[in-house]
Amino acid sequence: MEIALNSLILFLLFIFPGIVFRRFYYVGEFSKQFSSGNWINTFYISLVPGLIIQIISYFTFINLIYRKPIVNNYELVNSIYSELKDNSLPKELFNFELLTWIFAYLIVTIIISFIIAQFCWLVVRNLDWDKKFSPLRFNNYWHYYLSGESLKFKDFRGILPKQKVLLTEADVLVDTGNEGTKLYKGFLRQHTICRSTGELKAIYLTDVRRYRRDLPPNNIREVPGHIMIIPAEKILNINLTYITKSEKVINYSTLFLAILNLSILLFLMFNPSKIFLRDTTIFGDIVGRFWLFLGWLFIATMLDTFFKPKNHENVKSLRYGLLFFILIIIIIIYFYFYK
Amino acid sequence: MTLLKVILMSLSASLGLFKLQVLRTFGRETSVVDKEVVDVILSNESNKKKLIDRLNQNNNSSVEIKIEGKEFSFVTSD
Repeated sequence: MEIALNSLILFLLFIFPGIVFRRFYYVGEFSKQFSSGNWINTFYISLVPGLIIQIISYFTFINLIYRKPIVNNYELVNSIYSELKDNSLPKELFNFELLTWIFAYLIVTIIISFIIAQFCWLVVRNLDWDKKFSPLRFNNYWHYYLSGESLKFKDFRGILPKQKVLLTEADVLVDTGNEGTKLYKGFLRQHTICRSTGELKAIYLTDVRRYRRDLPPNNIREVPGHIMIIPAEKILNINLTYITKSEKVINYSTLFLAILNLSILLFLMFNPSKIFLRDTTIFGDIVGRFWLFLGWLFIATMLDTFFKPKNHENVKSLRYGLLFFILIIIIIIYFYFYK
Repeated sequence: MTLLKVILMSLSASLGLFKLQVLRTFGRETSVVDKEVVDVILSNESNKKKLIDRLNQNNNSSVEIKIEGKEFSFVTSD
């Protein structure tokens, strides 16, 4: 079998990061969307995030890891390009050092794909963008209805305003063949969907009761058993009742602290102009970042004792202990990187 | 001994905070049921019975509850 080398390189450079992005973007209840559809479609969809990730990875790599211009030798780049264009393996690549850098670049691309996918997922889900903007909505629409998240859709807004759905009770009318129909009632605990079409396959109820043709209160009877699995093809309709609680307004101080925490951590890890870690080797750079991370963790815990003292026991002693660790780390960093 | 206890307490608090952040960042809630409801209502027989009784009598489609510690109460009334 003949492999088109230039296609393989194009795949590695532009499609693969997009596939990694999609793998980490479609997670949890929406994980089946990653493998839905055919491979040609997946390739096309992966191309756009792949290109963006490639640009970000390139600038991250030359600024933070390689730390020198990547295209300073135009003859080498041109030679590799010409050989790849002719579908032959460039001999320049059989260089251990160059191969190591290429491998490092691929790792950076994968890590950046992962980070961007996580970031996009957090933003879309936490800010409810998938409920507000239909192009961002995930294919598993059953999750939105069964979990009550659909109440935030424009079409259903106002049904239960300022309420958060905690639990869903379903009244399910089931076709029992010759016996006619039966109406079951229970807590909706899980559902499965078809990987390719996204259609409902089955729902799983607990604490199931069955309606009888008697007058209340004798019209409901408990159904023995722990979990009732009802296949979707037997379901005629589902009536959902949401058990809710009053939704808290967004806690802006918590949001601000979370962003501040992340920003300081990124600043410490980036170490601009070598502010914190000076005159050191690659090993020192790595170990130094570990100490900085640990130091910030203790400082963040100390701040937490002031903002949320109720979360901690024996706060005074805890502060002394944290101060002890912070001082130790400052001393280590001072003697290792400044002396 | 007290010093060791304080040091361990500080380490435990810091690691606890770190664990909380990691869980918040990477934790994926795949269930359609809120975790607090599972802990307070569905895992507690008497609380579960209280909710089921209410739902069996319920003529109104909305049921609002308030969870306080290990107990819950209904906010709306029929």
